[in-house]
Amino acid sequence: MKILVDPQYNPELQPQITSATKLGPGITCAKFLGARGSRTQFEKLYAPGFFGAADRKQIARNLVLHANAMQTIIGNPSFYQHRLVVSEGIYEPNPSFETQEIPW
Amino acid sequence: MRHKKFHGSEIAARALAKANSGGSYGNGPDGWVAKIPLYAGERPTPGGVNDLRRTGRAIVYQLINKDGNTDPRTSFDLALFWKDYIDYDKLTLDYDTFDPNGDLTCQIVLEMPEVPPSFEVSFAYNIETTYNGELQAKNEILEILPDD
Repeated sequence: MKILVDPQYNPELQPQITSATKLGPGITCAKFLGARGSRTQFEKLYAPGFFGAADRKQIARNLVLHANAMQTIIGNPSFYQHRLVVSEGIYEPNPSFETQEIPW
Repeated sequence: MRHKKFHGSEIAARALAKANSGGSYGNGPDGWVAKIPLYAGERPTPGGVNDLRRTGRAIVYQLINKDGNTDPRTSFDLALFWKDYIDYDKLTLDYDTFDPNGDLTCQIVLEMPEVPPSFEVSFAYNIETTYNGELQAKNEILEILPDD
């Protein structure tokens, strides 16, 4: 199945992906980065040199599907008295390092 | 000869330190050592929700009512609505009573496939209901109601 994405919300057409990148009307990447249970930033994602830098375009493409799902609720009269919130968004493993000494 | 061996160890220690991000080397009481940072942080289980959350494939949602609490009844309705109206790899209706005051809390975990640049994807449409982390029903959405 090919997902049809509005060009103005297509991450592939954006010069760079930041937290302000729009994924849908009124939905930016920040919605998924600033969740109550897992607040983070693109710059902080993954321990550099161990997991590799975050592939922002891949993350944004994946989030487009979530933005589309959220769109079905916004303005839906069945849920007008409720608010859909992202409780756990993009996950950043807690990095911690121990020093290992290798004798020669 | 001794000096040569000593020199060789220094080169090896330096090479190892250089090859690893944040590595350093030095001459200690036991000879040359390379100090390599070893990742001791969390490694999410491959394919688990936390692993999928790292790339935005899985996101956890809550439906909040006017009092600022999750609403298990309407969350069930939302899960049913999403089951029929959106595409997904896996939809999990997850209830728990982990709140210290014992209230029933409800969240919906949506897992999506990895989206390539062509946006050609296929969806698995799996459904689960869990309660306090225990599977209650597979391929079915169960409604669990709070004690009133």
